[in-house]
Amino acid sequence: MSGYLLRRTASYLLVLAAALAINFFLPRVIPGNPVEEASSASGSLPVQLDRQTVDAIRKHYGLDRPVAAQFGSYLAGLARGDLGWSIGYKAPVGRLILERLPWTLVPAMGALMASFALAVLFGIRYCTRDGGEWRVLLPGVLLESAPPFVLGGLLLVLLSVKIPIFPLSGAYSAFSDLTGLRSAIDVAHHAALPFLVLVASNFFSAYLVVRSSLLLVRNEPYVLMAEIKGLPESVIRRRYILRNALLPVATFFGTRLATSTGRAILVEVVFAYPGIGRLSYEAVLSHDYPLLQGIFLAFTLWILLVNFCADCLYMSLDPRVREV
Amino acid sequence: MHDWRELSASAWREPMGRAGFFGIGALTLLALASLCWTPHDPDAISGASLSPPSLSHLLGTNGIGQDVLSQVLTGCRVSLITALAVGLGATAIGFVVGAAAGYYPRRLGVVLMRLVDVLMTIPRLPFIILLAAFLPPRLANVIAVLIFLAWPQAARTIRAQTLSLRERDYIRFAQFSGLGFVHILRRHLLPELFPLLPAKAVGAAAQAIVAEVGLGFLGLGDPTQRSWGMMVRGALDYPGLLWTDAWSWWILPPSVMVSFAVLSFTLAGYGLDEALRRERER
Amino acid sequence: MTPRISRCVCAALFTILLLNACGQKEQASNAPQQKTDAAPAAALRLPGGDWGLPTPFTFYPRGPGYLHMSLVYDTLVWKDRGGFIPWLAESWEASPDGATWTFHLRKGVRWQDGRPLTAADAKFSFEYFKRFPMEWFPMEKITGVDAPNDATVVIHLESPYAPFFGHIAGSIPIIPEHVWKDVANPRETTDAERVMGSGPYRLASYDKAQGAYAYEANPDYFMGAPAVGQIRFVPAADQVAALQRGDVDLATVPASLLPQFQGDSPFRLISGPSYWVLTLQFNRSEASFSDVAARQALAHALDLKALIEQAVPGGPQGAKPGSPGFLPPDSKWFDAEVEDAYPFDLDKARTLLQSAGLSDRDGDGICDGPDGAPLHFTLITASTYLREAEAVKLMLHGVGLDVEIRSLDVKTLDSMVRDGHFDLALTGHGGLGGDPATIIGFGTVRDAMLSTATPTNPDYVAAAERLIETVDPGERMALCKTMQRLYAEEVPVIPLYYPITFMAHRATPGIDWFYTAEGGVSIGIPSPLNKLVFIGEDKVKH
Repeated sequence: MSGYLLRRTASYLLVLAAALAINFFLPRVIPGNPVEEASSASGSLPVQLDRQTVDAIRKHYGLDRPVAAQFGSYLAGLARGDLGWSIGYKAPVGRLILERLPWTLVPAMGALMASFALAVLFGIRYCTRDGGEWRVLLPGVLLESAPPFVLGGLLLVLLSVKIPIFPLSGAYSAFSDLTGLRSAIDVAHHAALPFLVLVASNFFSAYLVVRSSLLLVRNEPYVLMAEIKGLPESVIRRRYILRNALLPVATFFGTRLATSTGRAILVEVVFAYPGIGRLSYEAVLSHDYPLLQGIFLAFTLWILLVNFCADCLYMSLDPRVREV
Repeated sequence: MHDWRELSASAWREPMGRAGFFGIGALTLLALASLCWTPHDPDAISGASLSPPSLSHLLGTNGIGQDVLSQVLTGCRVSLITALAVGLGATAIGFVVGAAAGYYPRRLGVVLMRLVDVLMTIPRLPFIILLAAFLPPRLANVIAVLIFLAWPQAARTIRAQTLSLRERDYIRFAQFSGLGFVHILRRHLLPELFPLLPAKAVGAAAQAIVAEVGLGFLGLGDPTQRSWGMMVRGALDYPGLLWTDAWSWWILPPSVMVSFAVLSFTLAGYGLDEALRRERER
Repeated sequence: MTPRISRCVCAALFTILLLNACGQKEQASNAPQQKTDAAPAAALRLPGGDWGLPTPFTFYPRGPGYLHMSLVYDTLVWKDRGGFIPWLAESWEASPDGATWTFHLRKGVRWQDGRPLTAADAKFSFEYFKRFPMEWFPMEKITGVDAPNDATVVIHLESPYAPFFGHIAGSIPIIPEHVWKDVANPRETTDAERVMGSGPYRLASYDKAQGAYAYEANPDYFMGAPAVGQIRFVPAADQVAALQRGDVDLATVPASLLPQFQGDSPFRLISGPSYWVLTLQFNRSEASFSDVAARQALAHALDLKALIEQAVPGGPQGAKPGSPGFLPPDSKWFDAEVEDAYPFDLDKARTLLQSAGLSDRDGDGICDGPDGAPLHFTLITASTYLREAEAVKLMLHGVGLDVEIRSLDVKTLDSMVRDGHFDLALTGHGGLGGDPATIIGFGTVRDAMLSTATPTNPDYVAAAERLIETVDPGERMALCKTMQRLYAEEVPVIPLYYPITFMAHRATPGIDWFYTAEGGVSIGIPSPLNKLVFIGEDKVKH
């Protein structure tokens, strides 16, 4: 048991090392560099930089040193818990990520949990009996068929612009002195549309997986046995079908949870929501190496953490896996 | 072993599945038709910019006066090719890798799953931008990237299922009898895991359509191909479009078509799923 | 839905709400909350966005970043709608050779913390910027700064420098010595207490994640308390929507929406040049476009008026056609004589292409290279310019050039153009309103890093170098004329169009928006957010 966990941990560390290296070198392969941000044509007014200033700035951020040396000091910084300094945002990377992290985790994870909860609830209710399932399938498939940014854009135009019920952007009202419940309501008000779009984009896939695995389990002999024994239907559903069907559902939840932060990028961009997804999009566009590394590291750690939890979950859901 | 004719006949009997097949059929017809005829040349400037729908331009024109209907029709091809290639490719790779990893969990499984982990830890967006910068923006490259990013997900699910399947007695017995992996894969794992595959393929195909639109949304699709994603991007880049009526004929048709395509694939998958389930029950 | 299911749904929603509340609390403690002391004369809400902490070292080196910083910090001189005006300095004079400038500071100017602002602060500022270079501030021309007494600053230049007012005296902020003298790493100093200048506004709160700023008027400002008591920069993802909802008082509106803001709408419109240009660039080191005739042919093959009609939102209302001399018609240095150097003429374009060795010899409609194989060109661009790229592609097809479009993100596009990995590129940049000697692609100052597209003609380069040092307006005008003529002859790039910006605003008493002279605030920020608008133009003491 502990040997199994130890082996897993060791291999996760290996992945982490590989990911660190990729995270460091990948952004540096992309053409363009962060120092020239100021003279880029992307803004309305480029600033001309002379060679001296460019050199001074490169030196300041250590970009003039050999890549290997930069990697060394990056690792040394990580060991100290220092993620570096964002060149574009002019702030410590760690602080930037921590400031934005809750705004991604809350709607993305909330929406994921809500859509899986809904999927399981509807799954148990509808797919083990005949008829009536279209009432879940039809809205579900229609909502998921619209790409998240199209759905989001549509909701934004209809519910924030044409009928201004919801705020246009942001995660909370600027300059408000709200406290307690009022601030919670304000935040929920801002999160409502992104949350809805994320639920809509997750629900149907979740439902499909719940469904196909419920159906797979339903015909297992032990379920038949339970039926023959005359156990009540609700007990069969929960104790026999659901419990055993949860393994692929948990796997799928794990994959979705791992990628949820990345998935939120487009939704966050559409709703100008200050989450980490939008930060990563902006960091990519501005080729901000330290920030990119920090965000990638956060993504990587997140994925590894989720995978590790999923591993632990398999063991508790299917005890036979432990023997592996 | 499943009989494909029986399966598809059974799927056809399911009304939602039938709707899905009809949808895919309709898309295929439109795509084929667009090869020989479109109302206007989709590239040519055939009218004033942003003219509303009229008899000569049934869906109006876009920001530089190209016919929207012709572009929507041409866009069918791109989405269909992407969906089919990615759906099949990702599921096939994911199935083989996942089953192998689940079947040999000790050495090969660990190596394969670490590969999957590494692939899944690659942050997608920078990866896509990187590829867009270096690879020529061809549809084939887009498809390759999407398959590359899609198969690990399928592999994980299959592997988890195989892990629990291989604990079953008949597979242990088959193993014990000295049967090889390929045999067990075909004879025992495939039939058991197959019900998951259409769901996976459909998911991957639908996701591929959405992803292709997403790439277009980021402005990184293949600009030589008239895809729906590029149309949406072009419309969103037009300043203030949402404040005029033009969005209803420039953004809406490609968005509706994307949704329709995803819908068709999903429903078809649902029909296949149902057919499999019924067959298993028999 | 059964009651059981709905209960579960409610519970899930409540959990999310609670989680949200925790997140919010944490956020609230981060942002400093400050209460208003003075009753605001008027409050303005402007579209926000994160442009960095408004100190001279941490603002993002972009126009809006500088505008934020300029609310808190002052410069020696400033610009109004007519030109340069005295600001911290009430008068100045130059030495006969134009290389030494003496500024006489206004008396009684105080920092926001009450300490007096003296010439020593100014001397410290210039020396400090020299030590810690910032992207925005060109320090390389300054050789030394003296402060002979409390009210006099003398700036020594390496050589006469024509853009001195725009780039140095009217752009470099004076910072308090007592706040910065012990700071060894100003680029990474982000505590809000350092945001203290002599300017008309204090920073009351700054929320980086959302891009929200609140500024309170400085009641002790040397020109008197500003007319606008409070300025808030509110996060606004869609400026038009934010304006119509009443979230902001001023917003940029696309030219295609002008009718909605004209007539009896509650909004008023102001418009001004964006001093931005979209250009078609050639890779002149490649065989096909190394010949000037080929580039001239393309200039004849592009119908710029049609391009604007087809691809620019709002059509001719939204942009002016490009001038082959590069400078826009709004610039006071513009030479109207070169404007029509390349009228739209397909026959002429074909003839010129032929003389450059590019012609269709096998009759397939596509020009062939010297080896007889049809030529294919790649046009790289950003997705934002795809409409224009399409139109250009079709126009070039008209003269037999086969062009394939490839769209990239702007950064990658920039670096591919700079490194010469392209055939044709469609890209744009701003800053055309500043001093002509410093315009990227036109002037040569500061090593001109982006100017792979400047003409290589030695006469042109000599004129550009002369332009930096010449102070006499008449001679400068003549130099600009020569440069535009040579530019048009060489066609290093084809300027396609100059967009016009429109801003709609709610009529607010006491606020009179205007576009700043000499290309805009500081080095040429074409924005109406000049702090003079908020202070009140009537307060300016000349």
